[in-house]
Amino acid sequence: MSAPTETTWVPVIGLEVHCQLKTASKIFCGCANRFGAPPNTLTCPVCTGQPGALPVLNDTALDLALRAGLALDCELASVSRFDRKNYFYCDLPKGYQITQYEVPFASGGGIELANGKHIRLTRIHMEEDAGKAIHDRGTHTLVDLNRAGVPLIEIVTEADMQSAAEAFEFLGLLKERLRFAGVSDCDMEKGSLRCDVNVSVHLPDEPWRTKVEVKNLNSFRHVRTAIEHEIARQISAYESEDPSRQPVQETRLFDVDSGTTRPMRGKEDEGDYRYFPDPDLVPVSASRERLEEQRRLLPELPAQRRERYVSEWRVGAREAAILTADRPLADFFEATVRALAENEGGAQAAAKWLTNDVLRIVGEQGTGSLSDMPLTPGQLARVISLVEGGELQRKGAQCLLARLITEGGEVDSLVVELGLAAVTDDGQLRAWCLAALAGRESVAAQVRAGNEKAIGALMGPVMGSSGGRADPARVRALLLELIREDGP
Amino acid sequence: MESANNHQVGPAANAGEAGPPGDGQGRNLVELVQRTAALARLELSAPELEEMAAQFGRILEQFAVLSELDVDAVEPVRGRAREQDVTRGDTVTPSLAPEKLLERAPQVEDGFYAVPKTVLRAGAEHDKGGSSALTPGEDRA
Repeated sequence: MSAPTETTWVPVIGLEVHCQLKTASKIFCGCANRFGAPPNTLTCPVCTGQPGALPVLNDTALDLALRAGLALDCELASVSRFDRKNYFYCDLPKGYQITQYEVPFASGGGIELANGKHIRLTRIHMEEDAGKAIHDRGTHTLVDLNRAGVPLIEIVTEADMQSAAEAFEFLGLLKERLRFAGVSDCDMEKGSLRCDVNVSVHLPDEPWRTKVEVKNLNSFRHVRTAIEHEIARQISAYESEDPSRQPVQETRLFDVDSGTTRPMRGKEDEGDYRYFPDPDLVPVSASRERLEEQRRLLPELPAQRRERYVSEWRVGAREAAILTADRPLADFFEATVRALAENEGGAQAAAKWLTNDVLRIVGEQGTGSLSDMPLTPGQLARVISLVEGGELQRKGAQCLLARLITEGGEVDSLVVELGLAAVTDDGQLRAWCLAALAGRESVAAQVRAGNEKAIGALMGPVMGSSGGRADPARVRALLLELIREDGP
Repeated sequence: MESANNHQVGPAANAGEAGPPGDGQGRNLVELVQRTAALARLELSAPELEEMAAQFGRILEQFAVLSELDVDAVEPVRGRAREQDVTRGDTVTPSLAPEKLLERAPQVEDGFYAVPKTVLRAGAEHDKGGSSALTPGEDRA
C-alpha cells in the first residue's frame, strides 16, 4: 500500500458536553448554586456526603433538563432514574457521583450545521457536579466543595463530526440553544459549560480506529486547537508505522501553553465505575403537564428567529446572526421593532442601529452587556424615529445613544440639553457653507470644472461648524448651488 | 480492614462453587476481590485476600439461588420505595457554617480541605479511577 497522504485520512469526532443548570439551589440539597463564593461556604451534610444525609431532587433542575431536551429535539423518557457512579477522588465526597446511567431522561435529537449536516445526540442525562480541586497552591491539594452538587446535564453526541471546524460550530449552536432556552449561562470561563472530545482517524472504507479522549478544554478555542492537534498527531503516528507511536485508547489532557495533548493516565481503571441504582432516590417522571409547561416556556430558538428576521422583516443575514447571538439582545431587538410599529423599514433600521452603533458603544464600555445598560428598546425606537424624521442627524444620534447607554435619561430632553437637534434652517446652513467657501476658491473652481468629488474638502468644515447636526445631503446640495451661482 | 471471623474460613471451608484454591474459579474470585479492594482503595494482605475470597464465594453462592427463579414477568424493583417523583422546590436554604464541616477534616488550609497532593506533573501517569481533574484549574464532572 502506498503511503497515504494527510488528506486521505477521515477524522471522526464526538463530544461530551457538561452544562450547569441555572437553578437557585443545588440538585439534591438547598445550598445555593452560586459561582465565586468563599470556599466551602455553600455546603451542607448532603453535598459533603455525610453519613445518613438524604438527597431530594430539585424539581427546577428536572424542569430545566427537560426543557434542554425539548430545545434539542430529544425523545424524553416518561420515567428516568438515578444511579451511582463509583470512583475515588478528593473532589467527590461521597465516593460516588449521582448520575443517570441506565435510563437517562433524554435520548436522540440533534443539531443541524450550516452545511446541512445533522449532528445526532446519543443521550442527555442529569447528574451532580463534583467539587473543585486546586493543585497548584502549596504542598497539598486544596478542595472546595461549593460546586459539589450543582445540577448538570451531560450531552453526549454521536461521532458525527469530521473536523475541528464542525465541532466548533456544533458547540456554538448548542450553547446558543441552551442559553436561549434559559437552561444555562453556558459560560466556559466560569465552568458552566465544559467539553471533552473523542477523536480518531481512519482511512476511507476502513473501520474506525482507536478513539482517544481529550479533556481539560476550557474554551471553544481550546476545543478547536486540541482536535486539530490530535488529528495531526494520530495521522503522523499511523504514517510513521512506528509501533511505539501507535495511538492507544486513552485519555489525554490538553496543554494550554503548548497547544498539544499528553497522556493523562493508564487505562487500567477506566470505566470500572460499578454503576448501580441509587436507593436514596425514587424514579422521576416527565408527566405530560410538566412537559407541556416546559414546551410553553421554551422560547422561539435562534435559528427560527434568524429565519423570521430575514424573511419577514428583510433584515440582512449578517445582522440577523449578530442579533440572535444571545437572547437578551434578540429580545431587545424585537421590542424595538414592536415600538416602531413592526414596519419593515423600522426593523431594518433597528437592526442597523443595534449591530453598528449600539453594540459598538456597549463594547467600548469594556464590561457588561446591553442588558446591563440603562438604554431601553422604547428609547432606541424614539432615536430611530427622530433620525428617520430628519430631526436628528446620524452623528447626533450616535452621541445621544452613547449618553443613553452609559448614563440613561430621557430622549427628547437630552436632544435639547446636548444641543443635538438637526439644523434644518437653510439660512443657517447657507451661512456655514459660505464660511467654508471663503478662502477655498480653488476647490470651487475644481467643482465647476466637473470634479464634483472635490466638494469633499468643503463638506468637512461645514459639518464641523454644525457640530454634526447638519444633513450632509442638504449641505452638499447647498454647496453645489452656491458654487454654481457664484460661477463665471 | 476489619474481618468477620464468625464463619469457618480457610481452604477447607472454601465455598463449594468457588472450588478449592488453585482451581480456576478460586483464582478468579481472588482476583475479583483484589480488584474490588483496589477500586475501594483497601489494602489486603495475602491471607486476608484468601479469606475474603472465600467469604465472597459463599455470598455469591447464596445469591446464585435467586437466578434459579423465573422472573421474566416481574418488573425490576429499584430501591425500597414504590413511589415516584419525590422532589423539592428550588429554594435556597442556609448552608452549614464552614467551620462545622471543616472541623471534621484532618487538615484545613485557607478554608479549603487540604488533602495529599493528587496530581502528578506533566507527562506523569496517574491512576484516578475514571475522573480527570489532574492539572491546576482543570474542570471535570
